[in-house]
Amino acid sequence: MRRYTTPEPFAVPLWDSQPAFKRADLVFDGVEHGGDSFVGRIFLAADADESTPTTVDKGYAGSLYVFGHGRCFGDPGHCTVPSGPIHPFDYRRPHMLTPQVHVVQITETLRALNVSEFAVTVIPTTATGQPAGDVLWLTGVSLVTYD
Amino acid sequence: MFKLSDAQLDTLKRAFAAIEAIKDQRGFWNWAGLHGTPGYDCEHSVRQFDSLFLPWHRAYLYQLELALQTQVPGATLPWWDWPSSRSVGIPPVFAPATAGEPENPLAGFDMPSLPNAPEGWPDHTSRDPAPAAQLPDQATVDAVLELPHFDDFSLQLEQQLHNRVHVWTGGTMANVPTAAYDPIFWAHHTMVDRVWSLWQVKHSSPGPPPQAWATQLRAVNMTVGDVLSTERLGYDYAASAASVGVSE
Repeated sequence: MRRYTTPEPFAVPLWDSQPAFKRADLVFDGVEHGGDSFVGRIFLAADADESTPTTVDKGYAGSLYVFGHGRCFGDPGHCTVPSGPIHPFDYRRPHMLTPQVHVVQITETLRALNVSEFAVTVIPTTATGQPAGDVLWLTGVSLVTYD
Repeated sequence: MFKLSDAQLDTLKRAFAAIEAIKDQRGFWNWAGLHGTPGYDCEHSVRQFDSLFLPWHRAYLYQLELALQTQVPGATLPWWDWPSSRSVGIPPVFAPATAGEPENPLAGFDMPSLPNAPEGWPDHTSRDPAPAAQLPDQATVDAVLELPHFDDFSLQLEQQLHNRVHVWTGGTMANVPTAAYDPIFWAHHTMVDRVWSLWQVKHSSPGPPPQAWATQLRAVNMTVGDVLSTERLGYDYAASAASVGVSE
């Protein structure tokens, strides 16, 4: 996809109207990396786009850096991720294109925004900030806080 | 990288030129091919609590440095200090030679042809760097070094620093299958390894948990436990460098 926004906002843990966390992470599950490498700009805002400045006041919280494979340099099946071990004694490491988990710390931006809930938008770009196209594929985003 | 003496740089270039010219298994093409195409033996984290990214790449650097030293004694891999590059971009020692100079073996590499000649396989390495100021700054490196838990540190080092520089460099370096064919890959990963070494000293910990130490690292014939100490592998990272002239 060319842009991702969480379908529902995350609630910010608060205690007495103040942020109740020492650290806040966004955990991106199932990030595919078989295509071109890209930078996924992360905004804690639903309305961000490619032109949104990467500043805290606009909700910019950091970036995903996906080191991709670019294309498949192999015969048919080389880049097909198996659905799991082929039997209980299959101890091989995961396939090279097994989707990844990415963790991005958003603590400072979340504190600075001082909101009770927020949406997450990810805008994939090239390293130079140009639209990266249809490169962003993931299965979900979680907010994890530590106190 | 920025403090190499002329003699150190000459040794490094001669060593790279030597292994780049070798066409058998001792050659650069073979070492580069272990990481991506055709070997795909590298370890990059797919889960949040993987521990093999740093050990595998340390073993890989160790083997390549030995291959360099076998050809030219005294050759050592320098680290690419990313924050110091924020004013210049690609370090000048990796730049192509200017007219009249001998070819720079650190500037690139002629990619080996593959038996199945996959579509899009490049003939030569390339780079397409983003603006220099987008390289990681020292504050970002220091923040990662502060993380007390190894799995957290390793993942942040991999994704927020290592991946970022691969994507920043562009070209061949920006794709896993081809990245290690660019000589700058090795200086980049030596910096990654240096950050791990600094973390080990700062936190008085080797990093990976004991239950991972017996894990065999693919293609490099070493275990995680074999690479926990740089001293055991015969190298260390200088805290600073200074030189003085000697009068005869």
